[in-house]
Amino acid sequence: MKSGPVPAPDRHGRRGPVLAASFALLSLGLLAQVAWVNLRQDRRQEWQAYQDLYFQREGIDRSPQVVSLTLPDGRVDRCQTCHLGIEEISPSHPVEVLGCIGCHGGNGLSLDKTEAHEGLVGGGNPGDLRVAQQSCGTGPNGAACHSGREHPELNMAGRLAQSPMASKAGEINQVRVAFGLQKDAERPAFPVDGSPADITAPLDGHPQEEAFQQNCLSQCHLWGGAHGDAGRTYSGGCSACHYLYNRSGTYEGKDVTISKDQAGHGAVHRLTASIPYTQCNACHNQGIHSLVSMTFERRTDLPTSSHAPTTDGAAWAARVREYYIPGESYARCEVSLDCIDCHSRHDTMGDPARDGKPAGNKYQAQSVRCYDCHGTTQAPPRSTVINAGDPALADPRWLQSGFPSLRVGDRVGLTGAGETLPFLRFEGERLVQYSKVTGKPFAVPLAYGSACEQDPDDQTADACHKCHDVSQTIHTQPPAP
Amino acid sequence: MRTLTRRRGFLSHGRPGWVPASAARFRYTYGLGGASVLLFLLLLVTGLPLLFQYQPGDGAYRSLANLTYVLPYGWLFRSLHFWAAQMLVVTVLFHLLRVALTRAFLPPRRFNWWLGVGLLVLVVGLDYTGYLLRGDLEAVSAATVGWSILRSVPVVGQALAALIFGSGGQGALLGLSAWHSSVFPLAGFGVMGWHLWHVRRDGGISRPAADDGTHIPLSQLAAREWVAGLAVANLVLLLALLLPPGLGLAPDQPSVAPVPAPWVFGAVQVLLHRLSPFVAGVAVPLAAVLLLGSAPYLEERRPWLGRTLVLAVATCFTALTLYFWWQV
Repeated sequence: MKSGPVPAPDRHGRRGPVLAASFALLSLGLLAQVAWVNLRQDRRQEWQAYQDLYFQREGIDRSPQVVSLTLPDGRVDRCQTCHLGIEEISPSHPVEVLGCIGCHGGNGLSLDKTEAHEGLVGGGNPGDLRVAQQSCGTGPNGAACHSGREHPELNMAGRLAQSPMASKAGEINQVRVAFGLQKDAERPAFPVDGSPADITAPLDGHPQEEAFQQNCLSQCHLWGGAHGDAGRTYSGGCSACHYLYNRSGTYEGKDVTISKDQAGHGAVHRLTASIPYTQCNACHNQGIHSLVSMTFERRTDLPTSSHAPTTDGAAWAARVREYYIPGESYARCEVSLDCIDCHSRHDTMGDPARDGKPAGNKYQAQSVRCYDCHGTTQAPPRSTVINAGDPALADPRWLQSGFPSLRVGDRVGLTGAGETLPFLRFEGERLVQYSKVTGKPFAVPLAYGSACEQDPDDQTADACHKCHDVSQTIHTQPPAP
Repeated sequence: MRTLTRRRGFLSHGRPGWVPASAARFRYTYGLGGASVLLFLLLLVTGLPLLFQYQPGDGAYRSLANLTYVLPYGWLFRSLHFWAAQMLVVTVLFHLLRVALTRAFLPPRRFNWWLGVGLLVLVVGLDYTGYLLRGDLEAVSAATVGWSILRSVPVVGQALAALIFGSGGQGALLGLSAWHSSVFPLAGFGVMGWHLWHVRRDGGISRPAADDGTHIPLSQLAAREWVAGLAVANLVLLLALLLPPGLGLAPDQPSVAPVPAPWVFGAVQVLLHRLSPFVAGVAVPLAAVLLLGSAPYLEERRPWLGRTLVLAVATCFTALTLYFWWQV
């Protein structure tokens, strides 16, 4: 018969209390952790705190919940869970279709800040020139939006880098001429596939080169820079113009996640094609770049804060005061209209006809002339008829109240360079320029058939300004209606 | 003394009433086998609610985001499942090492050693398929690598890749989900049961050389096991609370940087950077498994060879994994 197991010397008595204590402690630990789990589950998440703040500011009595948007392509966009109340970017970019991720990229599913912002296109600015081809150019699922279109007119995202506002071609060429480094300013732009701030030896090693790079090439151009650069109140790339900011570059909208003190934001989260002169003046007419000191000398006669223009008398006074640098000459229409009323799409975003040969200075880039609206003493302004495939029909303003509509068969202006001017309308006997900012109509006086004493062979703005300069006589009172 | 042995119910068939005091010492086994069983059960328990919420296919990543951020306690189950899986790989590897170093793989336990090696392969398979089910950019990369490795196998590669990954693309997640949530766990559960039964059949677990022949009652061992189990549960819960896994990059996001493999496969990734897919992904791991399997035979020939070989395999794996971490 087998004997039973030999019991070990009874160490149980010694180990018993240790085991019992460990058991009790570990059980307590487990219980504590279970309590912790519940605390964590009920904890206010960051997005809930944002919603609480939003509801509190707006006086809404509601408890936070996840905002989940299912886009037509099946993707889910939860960005508004934190960015609740943010303004819809524009009616042409409906959030129900594009979501936020359509332009901004990032991870629309995550409710964790770091994770959600991973893969964000252009940081907070999808219009940044480094990414504009990807964000503005190509939409969701590879849709061709502002590049890759059949009609070259519509590929602005890819063309914008060729604008002198991006390449700084004019600035570089003029300074090189002034320093005797080249004969004339006709030379084409330096390479436009990157920021002019990165051009090595723009002045062939001239002693002033470093200051030129730092104080001129790194400032005020469409390649922009990081938010919060000294004195920077605007975004780069497409957003530099289409995303309106106030003078301090701070956000005034309803999204509680965006700081209202930090410069570098648009006034509200909204894109527009109606760009008032104040937006252009964020860079232009603010002072001069001194060739002697190689620094930017800011105008001292400007107020430090102002907002988008209104239609009252103060707005007119502000226009007269702010529009141009003192000492420049300009005609009446150049004050009552906005910059973009004359400076067309080709002027500002690059001329498709110049593709591959970017303008070397602003005179090459600017195609619109006085006679494109006013004609000459010899001929009325050129015109064309809108046909069915005309890209001008895609302008969102034709559907906005306050703006005229545009229909196939309408007769519109045509520049000498062949660009249609859809806001310049031939309406029977009348020639009307509609403001691209407000839609307000302006009757266009013609040189053709008038007593204008122009030299038909000298059609520069300077020649017109000889008689039509109003800079010394214009009143700061609004014109009679 | 026999009266002290109380046998209650069917489950008590699995354990002897008395266990050798020397083998029951914590410093002999480190409780690694038991911890592995507990973690495996925890994975089954936490995997079940995940299975109810997870959508294989196109919606995988989205359903994971819902689990992580929207569904109450979803993050907890995911995190527990994740950390239990990480720990299981560790405990299983150390258990294997312990068994080899105590020469417990010699007959009569040789067959059970093979079952153990088989369980290791299953655990690695579960780890890989679980990683792929996340459906994020990292998972897509890992699936691409795995698919390429399988296809590199001569003659049957194409068929193997099709078997595991189906037709490819997002649809692959459907098949992978089946592997991960039914085939592998069922096989794992079965083989684990077999493995545990074999322990009993082979006369209980091995004993250290310095065995004085004394025994302790099962109740005493059970008390220690309860404490060890609670410690493991505490650790898993703590890790799950402190470091819950987030979402990877969305699968439709443009890939910016090379994606590192999950750590279990870091060693293979290091090899893949230097050797052909077949050698690094199939030949070397297969050789490692075969070497492990043959260790008991070698140990019988030379009383140190088998152990040394297992130690060498483990050292190579650890060194490559550490190098992988250092690189990342």
